[in-house]
Amino acid sequence: MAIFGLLSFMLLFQMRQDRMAALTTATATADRLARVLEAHTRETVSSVGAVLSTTALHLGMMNDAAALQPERVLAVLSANVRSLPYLKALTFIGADALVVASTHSKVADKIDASSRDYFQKHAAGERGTLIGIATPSLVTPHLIVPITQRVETAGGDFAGVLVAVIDFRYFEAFFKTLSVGERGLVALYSGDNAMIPETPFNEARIDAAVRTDRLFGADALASAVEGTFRAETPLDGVDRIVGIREVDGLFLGVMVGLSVDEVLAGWRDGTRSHAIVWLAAGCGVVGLTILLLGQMHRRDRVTEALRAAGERLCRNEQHLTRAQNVSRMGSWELDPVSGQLIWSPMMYRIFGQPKSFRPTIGGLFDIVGPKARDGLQSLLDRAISGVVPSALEFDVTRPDGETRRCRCKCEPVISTGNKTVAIVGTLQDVTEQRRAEAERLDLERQLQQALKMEALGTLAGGIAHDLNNALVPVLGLTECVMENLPAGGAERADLELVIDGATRARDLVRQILAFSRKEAPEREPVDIAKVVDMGWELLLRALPFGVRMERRCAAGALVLADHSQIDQVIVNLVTNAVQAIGDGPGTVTVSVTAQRDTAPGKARLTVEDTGPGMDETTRSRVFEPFFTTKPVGEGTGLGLAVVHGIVTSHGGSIECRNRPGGGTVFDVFLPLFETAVAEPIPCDFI
Amino acid sequence: MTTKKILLIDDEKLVRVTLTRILVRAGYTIVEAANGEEGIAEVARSHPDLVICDILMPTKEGIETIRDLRRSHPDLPIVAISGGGRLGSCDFLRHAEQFGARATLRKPFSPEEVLGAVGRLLDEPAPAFSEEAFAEKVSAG
Repeated sequence: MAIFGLLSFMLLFQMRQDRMAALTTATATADRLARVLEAHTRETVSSVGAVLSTTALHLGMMNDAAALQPERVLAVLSANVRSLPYLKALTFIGADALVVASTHSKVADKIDASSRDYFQKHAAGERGTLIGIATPSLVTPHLIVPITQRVETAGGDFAGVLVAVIDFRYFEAFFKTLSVGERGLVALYSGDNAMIPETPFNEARIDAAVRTDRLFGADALASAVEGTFRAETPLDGVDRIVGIREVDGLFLGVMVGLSVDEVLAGWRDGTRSHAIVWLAAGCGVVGLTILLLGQMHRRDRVTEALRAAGERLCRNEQHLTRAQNVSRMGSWELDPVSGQLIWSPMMYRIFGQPKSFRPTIGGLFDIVGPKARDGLQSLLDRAISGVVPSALEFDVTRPDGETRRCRCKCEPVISTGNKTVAIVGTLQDVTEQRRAEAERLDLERQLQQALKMEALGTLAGGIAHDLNNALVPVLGLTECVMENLPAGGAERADLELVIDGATRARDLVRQILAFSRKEAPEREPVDIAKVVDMGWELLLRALPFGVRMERRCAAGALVLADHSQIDQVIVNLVTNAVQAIGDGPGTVTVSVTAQRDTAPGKARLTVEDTGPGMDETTRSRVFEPFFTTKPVGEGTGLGLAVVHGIVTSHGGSIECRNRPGGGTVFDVFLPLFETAVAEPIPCDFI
Repeated sequence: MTTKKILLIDDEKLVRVTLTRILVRAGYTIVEAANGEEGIAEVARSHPDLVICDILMPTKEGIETIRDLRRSHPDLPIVAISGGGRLGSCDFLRHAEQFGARATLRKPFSPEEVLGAVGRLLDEPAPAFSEEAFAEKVSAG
């Protein structure tokens, strides 16, 4: 737009320059035409003057009245009038102002010229050639221009006036050759501003009253006696550029005026054309500019939209990459026709492959290994056939040796022609997920076990209480009755059996209560090796034939514990081991060590036997209360459950495993005394 | 010689009957109560020389009963008896000692165990009781 404005300004400037040039040219033209007119007029008048002078000389030579007889005068006139084509007539007016002779046949003899200006001037002594104002002819309907000269006698007296008449049409014809335009002005004027023929003012307006100063005003002529000027003609209101010249020696001036309107017509037409062209061009430029701006705006919007779309795409890619990193899930796409396989950066990380690795189906099969290859091929085959296959999980061993669990899902992309054009899928590293699930399942199993043990403990506690109450009269009153019976009697022996049975029942109930109790035991520093030593003799006495016992006890396995409960743990474990060996032969080994290579340090009590060992099912249930592999009536299923309860209440743990070469090993771990922390357990009185 | 009077507080009639048989044969006079509230009322009414109190009873259980009796009758010897825990998992007898029982018996018990504990408490002088010492003992337990 700025360029268009600048060009418009330049155009306006050029138009102004053109206008000035047109006016300058017109001024020069007016001046040139004035010079041409001046030359022509001078030549015309001079020629006429020469004819007049010659004629006057002839007439002057006829120095007597007789000689000036009309016939002789007419002969002279006739002889000279033919010397110039534009000379209309020659007339000789005598000193008495009457026409003596004229070459124009219609000139009346009686015409009195005494009133004529030229006659008066010549009679008064003017000897030059005078040119008069255009005057209606006395004998023709046309304007005539009289050019006069004094005729003198040989003695120098006034003999009359010789009048040469030029047809005004001669001037008009010449004026027309000057091409001043329809509103141009061509005029001759005498020294006293009397107009001679002029154009375009018609003859009706040509009279004595019309003077050149009325054309432009006295000031205009006074300031431009010879040269050019510009002024408005008051007579017709036309603005003109006027050239004026004086005709030397003739007391005569010429004037050529060019209408400014006409002078500028060409410029105006040109300017209009230019303006139209420029306007059209401007409209075109504006249109083009608007179009261009619109295009630029659209281009900018498209560019902006592309940039925003690019940013969104970049953000989405980053988001996708981050999401894939977080979920450890990669994505892939397979072209089933070309076999081309592409995948996301996460796939490289999951497979532990470098970025330089080029994904191919063959390469993928190599990565997943032979175990998963068939499954993966089946998954792809199903997807190619247009079916969404079930997810496939498999292990992938990375180049660094680490094994990752991967879950692969995919589905086909079906074209409108019902063909599978691509298979898109994901591959997620579910290693941690599966590990967490396994841990959760283990915790759930432990929790379930703990809840079951707790429920059984509560149930056992309740049963034990009622059983104890029921046993009170059995034990108490049987003894009372026995006191009254003689020793050695059958009845007393029977009652002793009753007491034995009741005592066994009491012990059983106490086992149940020991299992069900979870309160903090009376704890004191206890050396497990010493507990083993103290009870060793009793344990040996209870051994069946064929079973022997060994002990390997290291000192220093000091724990904060209830002595009697540790003793019960040892007794129960040894009893279980002996029963596992059965009829023997076999060996039960008890060992005690202090492990300080872990934090916190642990005391380890190990009881192992050389029995048949346990299967997996038995080992998983071995600490459940009332679980026993013994025949009905031979085992309570509480021994190992009580051991488990005691150990856990001391903050320890117990593990069961098969012994290499046969047999079972129980490992009890208890916190060493220097690191043991007794945690109070709340007491429930309800 | 004055016959010693013993109050039996137990919700289980079998236990009360058995103890009555054992203790009457030994020359004691027996009064009975089926729960803690009845037991405290019976103490006020019959002024026993010794109380045998069960722990787990309805209405008013043994620990609270023993604590109240120790406060109202500091010199009254109390034997706590228990067959174990029905709902809880604490060693009630140990707590009973802390709250004032001077002897404990775990059910089932033999006649010798009952008579030994009763005879020992009735023969030996009651230890001096003070609220401060009691509070200390409880807080230490």
